[in-house]
Amino acid sequence: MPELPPTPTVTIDLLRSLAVAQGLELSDEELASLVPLVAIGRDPLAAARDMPPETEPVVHFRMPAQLAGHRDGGRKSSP
Amino acid sequence: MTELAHLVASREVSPVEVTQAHLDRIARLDPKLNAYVTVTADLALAAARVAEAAVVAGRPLGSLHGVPFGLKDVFDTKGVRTTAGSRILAERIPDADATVTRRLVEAGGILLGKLQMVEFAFGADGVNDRYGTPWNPWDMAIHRVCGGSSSGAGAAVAAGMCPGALGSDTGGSVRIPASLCGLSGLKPTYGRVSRAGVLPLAWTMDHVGPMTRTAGDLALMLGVIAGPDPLDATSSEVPVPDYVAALSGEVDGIRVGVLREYFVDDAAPEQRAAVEAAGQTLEGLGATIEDTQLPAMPMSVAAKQTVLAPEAYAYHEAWLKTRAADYGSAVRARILAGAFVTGTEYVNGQRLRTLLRNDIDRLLARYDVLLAPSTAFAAPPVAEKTVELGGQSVPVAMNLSRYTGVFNLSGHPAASVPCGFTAEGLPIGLQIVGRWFDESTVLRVADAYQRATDWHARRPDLVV
Repeated sequence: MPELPPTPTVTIDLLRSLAVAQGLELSDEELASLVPLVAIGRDPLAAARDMPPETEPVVHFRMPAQLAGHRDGGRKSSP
Repeated sequence: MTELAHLVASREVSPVEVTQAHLDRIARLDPKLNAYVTVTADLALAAARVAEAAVVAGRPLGSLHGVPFGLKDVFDTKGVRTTAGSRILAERIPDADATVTRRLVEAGGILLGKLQMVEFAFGADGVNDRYGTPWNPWDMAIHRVCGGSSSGAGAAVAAGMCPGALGSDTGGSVRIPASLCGLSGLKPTYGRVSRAGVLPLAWTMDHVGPMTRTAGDLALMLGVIAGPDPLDATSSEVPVPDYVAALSGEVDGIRVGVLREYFVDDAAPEQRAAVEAAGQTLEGLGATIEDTQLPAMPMSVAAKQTVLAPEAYAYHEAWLKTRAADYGSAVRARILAGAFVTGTEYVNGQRLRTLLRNDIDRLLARYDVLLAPSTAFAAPPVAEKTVELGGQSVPVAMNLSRYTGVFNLSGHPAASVPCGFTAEGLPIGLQIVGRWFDESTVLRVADAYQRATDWHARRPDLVV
């Protein structure tokens, strides 16, 4: 996979523009309090972008095969 | 709860006496502890009289017959106000019970009332500015947090204002108050217990679990509430075993992995020592103990923040845009952070969860259970927003869930049981994590540990 450019730093201005786009009216004080809360997820997530590309989102409906009674891990096979 | 159920069934105590005794205790202690939002005294006594009549008539009794319980105010109760600790839902009266409410009542349980919580369950410190923050019963001089969001449940069970309660756990909200209040608490496997009729925080991370004094009582309550539910598409069809029967008291041959890096190694010294001692206790009972690591753990912060907050925002968006002032400022900010997570980031957060789950599954192929501290430190005073940990000042609210949220992301069952006390006399919690749908082994280890120790049997000094 090609290397991605770095994620933009979370700033009040960035959050303000995103907020406006979503119809949220937030004060500068409120936006400032949100900066660390947004950054705490975004910063390490950016560092984890080298996860294996075949990694699928978690599937909560997957049952352990031996419990669900399916040899294929609970997935239905095609007819 | 187990003992009360036996005493009721054997007619040694009457459900009315038991219920009245708990209501009297609530009247005496709750003005200070503030564990209850709503006490359903009249309904409870009416239900107790019906339960008593059933005992006298010799009718078949459910496993919780005549035993009182409390519910975090996030579980729908037909005809009884359910606020989720919020101003937004301050007057909401559901027209149906949550599935778990109904199951507890059908098993003969007597609802004493609805318990305090963090607003909309979004917070680990137990603080609620709208309804007041429950007082941790282990320090009647200094107002300390109960942790949570299931803070009222922690205070109520610890103070004997109900023998057991249900909480919800999205990042640790059953296990954290269990740890800080000296209780036993269990977050079951995702899908093991229905969430129907439970106000959501984050759909893919929400769990429902019991909070009691003992692992035996956890087994009793879980057996009542577990199982498939057509009203919850994520509830599992995996058969429900007899959890009480699984409590053999034996851990001989059980393989235990102690999570060191990111868990035991970065906890406060008293927590570290208590968990290490718990491992030695289990080893003395015949378990095999090894140190191990969870390399994917650092991903959990990003995964949690990019999944939990946007799911919460999706639920709250309309209210946030029309009634923002009705939210507490801290909870409003936590939810609003979800508005700034992109779709790609959300999906990548869900992909990180796969790596976390696979990492934990790999460990649980080698071990039957994993041990870790439930929390990195004991209950801090409400007034203190930071604590010293590893030579650094860290925020309380964010760090109370540092060892628990990862198992909400992965869905594995995890219990917290008392494993010691700090020099200040505050409880310390031991977290026990098991394989998907293997609550039986988690409870078996917890119960065996409690048969060998008396931490769970200690009571706070409740002079008011």
